[in-house]
Amino acid sequence: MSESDEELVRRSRRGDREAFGELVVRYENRIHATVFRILGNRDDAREFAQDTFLRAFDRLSTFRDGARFSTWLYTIALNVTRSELRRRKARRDRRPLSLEQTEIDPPDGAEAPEEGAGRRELAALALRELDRLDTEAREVVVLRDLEDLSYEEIAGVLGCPPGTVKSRLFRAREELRARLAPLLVNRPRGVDR
Amino acid sequence: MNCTEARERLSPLLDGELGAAEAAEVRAHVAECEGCREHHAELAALVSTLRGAPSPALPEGFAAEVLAALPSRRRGGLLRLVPLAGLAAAALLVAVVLSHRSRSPDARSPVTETARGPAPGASEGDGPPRDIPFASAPAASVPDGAPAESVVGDSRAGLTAGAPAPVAEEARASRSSGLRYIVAGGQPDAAAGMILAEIDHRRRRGGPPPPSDAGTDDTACVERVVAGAYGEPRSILLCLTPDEVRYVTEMARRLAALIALQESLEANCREVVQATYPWVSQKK
Repeated sequence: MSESDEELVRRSRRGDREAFGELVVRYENRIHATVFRILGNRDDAREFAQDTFLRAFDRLSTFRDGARFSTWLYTIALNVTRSELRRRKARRDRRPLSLEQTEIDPPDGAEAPEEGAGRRELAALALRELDRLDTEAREVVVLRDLEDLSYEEIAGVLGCPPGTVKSRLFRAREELRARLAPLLVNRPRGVDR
Repeated sequence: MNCTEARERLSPLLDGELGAAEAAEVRAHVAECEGCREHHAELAALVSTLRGAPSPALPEGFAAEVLAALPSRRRGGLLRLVPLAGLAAAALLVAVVLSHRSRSPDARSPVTETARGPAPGASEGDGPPRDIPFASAPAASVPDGAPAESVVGDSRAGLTAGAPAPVAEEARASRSSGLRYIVAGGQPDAAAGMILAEIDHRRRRGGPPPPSDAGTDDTACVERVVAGAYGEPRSILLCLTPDEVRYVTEMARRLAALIALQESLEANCREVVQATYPWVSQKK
């Protein structure tokens, strides 16, 4: 039987690197994917995902007993990505206006695939649109729809009430739906659960 | 339930976050309303698409790289030493105050004797000299134009029973309150800078050579920008040997205990002074 996160955290706090390595292996996929999606599908996600774990290691002493390690880790990941996005924004804000406009152009209709595009193409488009959402909206969609966290878990990560998660998710999905609607109508229905 | 209300609930419905009664109500509306049915289908397709999106491939060797980076990252992580260093600085401050008080004949106390004990790990002659620059990051931490001499050296003078630094009482008081402010105000950086400057100086004066095991598990690397001799910013990066880490830690603990015991030690001091008076008078 594998050790619980709590036990691994306890061992890691005592300087057991092997235990921390186990935690990294346990969460590397999820943290990398989260960072990757929130940062806009860029290659430097590796660096920031690794930074998440390194910061976690640095701060193990601040981890509160009884808290969920995964939630704590996601919180650190979001702090890392927010810092990076702020840095990027500051850099972008110094660019000439024309470049900025190019970046925030809505998707060109001509780029849209033909109706009946494959699921993979639709997913790629959805991810591209996800990248165009503001950070707050992108975070909830990534945590809910890509990472499958419950509203309560997301609330724990973001440090807000579940009701806020619900409303942010509603707005974010509505924005995505509105942008992708022409492509979604022929998608399989009945996801309702 | 109207369309607006129903559509607001479609998102939590898809997540299974609605109560049974509310979910049934939404479903009933969707079944009857074509517009909401389409809306629901689009939203469901969107969620399904996102959930089915492939995960990005994890870079090869990801975990190994994290683990390999841990030792070097512990440089930052071991800034956990900083609070200890802060404590040490606070304790040093107390030592200074107590040693200054001790110069007054009627205030000589056991506290001073305690403070004058040899510093842990500090051998004879390796104490910090007086001329190390005041290692304070924020200039405002030493208000009122306190003298530029070494606070660390002066503080340690209290510990090693060295001669008191020739500073004016007023300046000493303001510097002390400045140091108190550094620690009490949660500015451990300045305090940590002092500790680092001390160790740095000890090395320059022929102390142990820089550790060759920099970056390994047994080495704590800390970096601080401190004020140089002329107030210019100077970066100190030290990889502390395990002995030095122990020194700082033990020093901090022992000195912090002085702070914690200050009240009772002073009470003890008064008691002893009073208790010895008749004996002194009898001698006369």
